[in-house]
Amino acid sequence: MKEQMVTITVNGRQVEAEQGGNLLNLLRSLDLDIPTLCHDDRLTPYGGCRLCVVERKDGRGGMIPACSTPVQRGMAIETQTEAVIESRRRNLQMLMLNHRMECPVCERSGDCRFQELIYLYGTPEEQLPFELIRRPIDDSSPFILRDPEKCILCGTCVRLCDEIQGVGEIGMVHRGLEATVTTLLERPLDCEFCGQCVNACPVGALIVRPYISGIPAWIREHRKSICSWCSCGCELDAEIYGGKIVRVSSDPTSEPNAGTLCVKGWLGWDLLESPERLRQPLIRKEGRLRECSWSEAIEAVAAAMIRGRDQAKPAAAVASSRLTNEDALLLGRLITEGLGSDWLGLGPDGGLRALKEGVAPVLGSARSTITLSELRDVDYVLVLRADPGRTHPLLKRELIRRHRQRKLPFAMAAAFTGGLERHARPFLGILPGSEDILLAWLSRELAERGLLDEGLEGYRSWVDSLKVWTTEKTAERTGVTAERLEELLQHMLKAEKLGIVVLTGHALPGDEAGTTEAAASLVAALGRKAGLLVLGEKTNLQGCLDSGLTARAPEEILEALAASKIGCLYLLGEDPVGSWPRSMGGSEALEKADFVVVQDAFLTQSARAADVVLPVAILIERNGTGTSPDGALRRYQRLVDPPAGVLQDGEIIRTLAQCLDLKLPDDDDLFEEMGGVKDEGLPHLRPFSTKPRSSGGEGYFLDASPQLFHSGGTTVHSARLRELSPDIVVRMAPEDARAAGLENGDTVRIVGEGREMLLRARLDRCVKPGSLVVPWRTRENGASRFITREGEVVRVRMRRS
Amino acid sequence: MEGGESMLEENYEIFYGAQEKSTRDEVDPEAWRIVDEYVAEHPGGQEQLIPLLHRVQGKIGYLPFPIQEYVAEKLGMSPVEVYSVVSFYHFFTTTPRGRYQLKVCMGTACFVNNAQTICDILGDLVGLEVGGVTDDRLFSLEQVRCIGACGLAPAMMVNDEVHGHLTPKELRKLIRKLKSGARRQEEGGPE
Repeated sequence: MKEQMVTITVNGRQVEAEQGGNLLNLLRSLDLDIPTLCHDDRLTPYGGCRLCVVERKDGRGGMIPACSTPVQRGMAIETQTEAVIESRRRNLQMLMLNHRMECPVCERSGDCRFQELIYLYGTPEEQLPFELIRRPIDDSSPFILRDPEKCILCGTCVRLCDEIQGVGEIGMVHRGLEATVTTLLERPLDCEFCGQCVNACPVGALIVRPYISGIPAWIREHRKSICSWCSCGCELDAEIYGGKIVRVSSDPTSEPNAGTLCVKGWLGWDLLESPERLRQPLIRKEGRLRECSWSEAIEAVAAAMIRGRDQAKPAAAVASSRLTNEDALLLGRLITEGLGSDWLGLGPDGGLRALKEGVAPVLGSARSTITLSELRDVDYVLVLRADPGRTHPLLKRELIRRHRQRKLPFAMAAAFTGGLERHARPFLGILPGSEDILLAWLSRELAERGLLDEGLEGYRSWVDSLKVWTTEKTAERTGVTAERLEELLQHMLKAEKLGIVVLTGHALPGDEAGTTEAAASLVAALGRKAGLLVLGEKTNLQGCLDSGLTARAPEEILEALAASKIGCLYLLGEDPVGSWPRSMGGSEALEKADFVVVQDAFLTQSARAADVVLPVAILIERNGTGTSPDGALRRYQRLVDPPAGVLQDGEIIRTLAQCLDLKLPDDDDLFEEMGGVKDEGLPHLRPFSTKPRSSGGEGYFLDASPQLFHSGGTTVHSARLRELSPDIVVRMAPEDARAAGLENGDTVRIVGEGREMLLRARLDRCVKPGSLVVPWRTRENGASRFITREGEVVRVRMRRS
Repeated sequence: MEGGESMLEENYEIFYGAQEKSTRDEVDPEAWRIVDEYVAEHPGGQEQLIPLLHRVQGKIGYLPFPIQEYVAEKLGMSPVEVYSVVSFYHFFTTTPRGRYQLKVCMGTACFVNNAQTICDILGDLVGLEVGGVTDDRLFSLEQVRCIGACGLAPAMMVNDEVHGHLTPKELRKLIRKLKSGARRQEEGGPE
């Protein structure tokens, strides 16, 4: 639909504008300074603070709020008349009367829009007879302090919580002077702690306890980087003072996250200062790990590598997909050129098999075909395998925003939930691991309607292989009713442009590669109508793939180790003993290695079994580049220095290379080398097959996949995240708890696969009935013990203890 | 087995406080049914909020919080959003009202005809401040804006019934009648 252009007059000047467009945006695009307190570009217009008033001079005179006025033909607008300025001054005065003025000691002083505007406009001399309404600070919630005496009731926090976060934990209650922002029954906040409300507050009414610093805003240094918790890649705005992070937020104009963060990206950074962090290399002497100097550690590692090379027992390296592109390339050079070995691989991180074995064979390259930002504008999105609120929070916010603000629907097919299901149209609560069957059925239905590209290579045999997946059989195998399937199909048929998203992460049930292949096949057959997005578990999976770190699969490396073919094993951020599925045999294989080097920030279980442990910089302590799932370049900027004596992966690799007399190029030259992923050919369909999964049996489905507050391994080292969700809690649906006679806080024994865990019950409306959410890893151990194979569906029993 | 129960105990209290007590059972079972019925008959989600709240309050006299949460769930809203609407409108109340809701009109015509005195007398008769409910939940007293019976000023409503041209004597008679009516009903079994 093309908007009509009209002419309006602004401050006496003729201006072309879009009929019905937002007047405030138009005025700001003309470089006119229009103040606002309640307006947020990300939200629907509100018109609460009345600071954006402008004067209309074309007959229908008067003061109008620019933020909520559509542009109309023939408008004449004045933005700086005396009446306008006076009106803003009066409004500011009224806001100020009921705002506790303590600017000199306020945490937001110097970073407060209200303060700025009062400086700019001043307030009228005469005092109005009004006394501040006293209200106590609410300090009952974790981390967030709410100070109603400073609140100016702009409602931005309430609207963000609802329109973007989709939570609606806070609301504006009562009326007139009694109006206040609070939770239902003034309970403590029980929300996602995303920080959207705090970061958007124009005043100091919302304060974050861990970020109370007393350091004035104007002497803090702002640095931007990319959040490295998951693969979404949100932009961070960190405020630094004295080499330490004093506050983290995000700029509303940032891409792709538009100023939004999740709890990990907002608060999780205290793990950098965790007392559990390794700060010095360790070396095994007389059977025990002891602290040593860097030179001693590096010499020992280099000697072991050379010894292996001379004995024709090659070194092997297994890296985590958190490595930067540069570090990944350096590692590749070290292993292939320095040691003449091709035993190089990534750990079994979520997304690796999806891209390598699911996407690449079908689409020709191991890469998504649509970006997170592009998903905003497709007509319909189908999300598979998980609730993105738990695995990839940015995607969740995008979906909520589409749905709430533009009525663009999305479907979610997942066995386990986290709250997003309430917004999905439809939500398909499928039996664990049956997403591939759902996709096969969808493909069959669309093929029967002649909507797919029949000219694709392998099309015939692919369609033949789908024939068995009738609606009836699909309903039986996925546990989704035929009506729900039909609803999904109708949405798909209506959409002109589709997005299909496959989420990955540890302990998600089902075949990651098979599901992704089914999704890629459908996307390929739909042609330009559809895009595929595969979101990996860790930040730089795409970059590590593109850097060629996938010569060997992790299973292959462990097998070679177990067969004593490997000399020195070099683990970078991977923990085969502690975090790989037990069936892979990580701990047995490690015992067979001649020499094990672990490069990690924490003493993992593999590190405990290592010969040398090298402490390393993590997450936002690193410089370098990464690649987003769609292939765009990301720049990780070092926000804070790592602890003294701790190096970045690349620095350690370079030092090792020196010992091996290997010359490595500079980072800048490496950057040139990054050629990106190779296109391996045209789309090519393969017959669909699914592995039979036993979802029979009794008991609750065990859900050990990422939780909102805990993504898996690393997060357990953040005391703040642990405080929000102690790792001693099993979350369950209230109806399940009632049926089992459990209340909040009861001690529960979880039993399954001959193992058990003792946890405290927490009733949570977001949990799907019939499943139990158990932390994957705690500092002691965790639900990982129940799961032996990747993608396995596990059932457990629950008893009151 | 990790932790041990004492550690579990201690941590849990720190993180989640004392156990939340369920208040669902105190709500009139009729209320849940009204919500279910209404939502089934009136599709449209959020737009149905205010008529639905009217219906519930009309039947059980107030809007308990568990019902507000249930309404929110049924209409796809967040509970606090429902509460913000409930708290905005003077008409809605979250505390139980009496069986006889005494609503004294404070509109202009009644006001100049001594509505305040009428209200004070009424308060003395039933022993209530404005906004209160008697312990036996027989009476509740509130002031309302114009009820559209200006010709009968000073006027009041007892539930849906208008009483006009009020005098202190008539008020005493009315209250006596209501009390004895209630007593008769109690003696003669359920209404």
